Amino acid sequence: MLAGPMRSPEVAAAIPKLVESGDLSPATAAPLLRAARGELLSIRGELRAILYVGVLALVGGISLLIQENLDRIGPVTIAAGLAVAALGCLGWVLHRSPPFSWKLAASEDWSLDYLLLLGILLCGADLAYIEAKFTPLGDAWSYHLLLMSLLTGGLALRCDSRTAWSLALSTFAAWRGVAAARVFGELAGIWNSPLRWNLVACGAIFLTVGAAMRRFDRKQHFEPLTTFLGALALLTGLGLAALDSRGPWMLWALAFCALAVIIAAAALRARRLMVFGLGVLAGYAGVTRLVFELMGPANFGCFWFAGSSVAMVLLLWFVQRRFRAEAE
Amino acid sequence: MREEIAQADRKFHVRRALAAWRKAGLIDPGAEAAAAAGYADDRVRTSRVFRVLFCVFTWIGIWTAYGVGLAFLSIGGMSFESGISFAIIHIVLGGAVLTVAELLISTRRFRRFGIEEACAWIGSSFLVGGGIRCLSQIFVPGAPFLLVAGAWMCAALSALIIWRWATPGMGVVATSALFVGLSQLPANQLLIFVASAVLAWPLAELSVAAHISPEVRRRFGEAFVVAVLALYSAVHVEGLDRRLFRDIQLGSASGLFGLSSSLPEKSAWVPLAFVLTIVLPLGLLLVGVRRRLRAAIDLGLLLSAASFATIVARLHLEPYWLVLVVSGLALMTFALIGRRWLASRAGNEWRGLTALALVDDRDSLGTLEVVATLATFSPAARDLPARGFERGSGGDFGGGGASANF
Repeated sequence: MLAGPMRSPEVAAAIPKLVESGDLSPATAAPLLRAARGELLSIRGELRAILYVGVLALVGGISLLIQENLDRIGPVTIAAGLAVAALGCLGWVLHRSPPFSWKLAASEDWSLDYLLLLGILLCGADLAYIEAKFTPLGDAWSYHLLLMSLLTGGLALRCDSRTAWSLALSTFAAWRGVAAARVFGELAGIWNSPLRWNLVACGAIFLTVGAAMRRFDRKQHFEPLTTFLGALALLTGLGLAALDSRGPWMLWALAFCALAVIIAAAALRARRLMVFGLGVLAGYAGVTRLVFELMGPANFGCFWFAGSSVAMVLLLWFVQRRFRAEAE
Repeated sequence: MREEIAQADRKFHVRRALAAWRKAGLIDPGAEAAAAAGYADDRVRTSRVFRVLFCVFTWIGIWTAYGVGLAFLSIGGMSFESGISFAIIHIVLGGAVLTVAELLISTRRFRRFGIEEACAWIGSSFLVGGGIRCLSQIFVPGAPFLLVAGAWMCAALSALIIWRWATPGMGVVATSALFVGLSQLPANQLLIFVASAVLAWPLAELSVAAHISPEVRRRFGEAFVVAVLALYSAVHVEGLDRRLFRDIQLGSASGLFGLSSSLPEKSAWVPLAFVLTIVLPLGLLLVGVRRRLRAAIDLGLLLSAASFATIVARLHLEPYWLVLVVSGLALMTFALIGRRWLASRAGNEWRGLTALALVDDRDSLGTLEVVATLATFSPAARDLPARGFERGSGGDFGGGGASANF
């Protein structure tokens, strides 16, 4: 791996001094200096983005092909074609991937990540098509999402792909009926109790998986993503329950606030600032919900927001000084 | 910008590079600390998450305090029917908030802290709003005049803020406001084309100029992006074909100040615009590759994709599934071959371009990839069982069955 900062005249001016003082070895400094001077630019991100868009276009094109030519091609040909393409992709990736390890074992060849993604998507499309057309699972049709989630998770662990792992988690959530659009539907007043409890369940499962990863040192680099999605799902589920004023909303609002504070505190202790931010915003929203319901927003809203935001700034000021957040 | 702030920003850049090298394992923490001691940064800074939180709560606080203040003034007997008093309140308030920003930056030494950045944004919006209100009360002009005056006032104020503090986002605001103002003048398309073509290259050069402080360079980078987008929109064939630039003018077709509009005749310019729509992104890509300018490369790629979509739509290239499959395969092949080709060359590079990773963009790229994957590739959620469904004010849930929408 080549290491270096982005183009920066300041860093370019500093590197010779650091070499002179012995803080940087000349061999390490050489590529850093070229990158800082703008003589060397990594287009890895651009190539990855092109590959990603390529996968997106290919999967979109295949979906469109099947939809438009369903009768002409025939279901068996479609299912078999998708299966062959998916197996080809996955077989190639598994063949080229480094041996399995519970530690970080990412391949130097970053294109494998995208071929894995393509294979998984083709496999998912094939499974969904077979299920819709031939209904082998019958009434248990929804289990194809669980199957897909487990398969994606397994492949993500085997090939050490964080992208595939995120897809496994979102597929699991989809199996439980969780989708962003439905959460927004609830916020718009379309109450849907099962969604909340599924969010809470998904959140609890993800947090447990994340904790196990950390505790047993298994794929620890997947843990931050798992924990973040878990915290997000858990807080969203409880938050939706707290918003529904037809039930015991106050109980849920209190639970929501308490959970937000616990998550923020635990995240700060573990230096997980994204999760901390999530906890802070959730806690503020929960307390605001309680205050508005108890005091009435019409006469009080501006005063509450003006005063509470000052208090939040002061609290955050204290916290960031206490924990010495590294400047970015 | 005061020299001490510029110096602090330069030192901060070096410290950030040192931290990135330490995280990549190139230097140990002891070496980092020793090296960083030579680049002491006297500003008060914080992490990205705290910065966002500070910004959010400052934003909420100032806007609601503004509401409280207006309520008190109203209770105190102040009438807002007179537009001038309302405008003066905004101007005074804007000036006060900008003064707070100046104090936080110069006295409290805040930098990239969130609070002072929110103050700069809110103060400038109050000031511009008050200025527009003032103009509307004094001159009673039409909407186009107000839009031009307001946009250029905003551009000038944003430029001042860049010069003084280099607040993030102000490069976008200043340049966008400049073009919004131009959009209401006669021959707006030609004006935007000329202005953006003249500005783009100097802005690109300034965005990497060594004599300019890092934060100001970033603002020039933002302005470069806006200028290129304006240039692309000015030459885009669909914009010309649909007379987009005529339609965005608020006034009559004769334009502002009674001058006649000199929009080109549609048919005569369409072929040229079609060629420019294709050539401009490719030219940008070429310049980006030759000068190793990431912003130009990224914009070139994005605009190439937009131009390709335009070609497909205009030439009715069908069937769409074939276009998608072929373009997807072509993109994948290009990326895979490009990576292998770069890796096969001496030093893994060609003309200073490499496919190897730089340490400081790995984390953000990884996060972006995960977000994009979750947004685009997550499967449709299954419908929840009908039992237990409750209906509020609308919506249409329920039912079951696997989705074949893949």
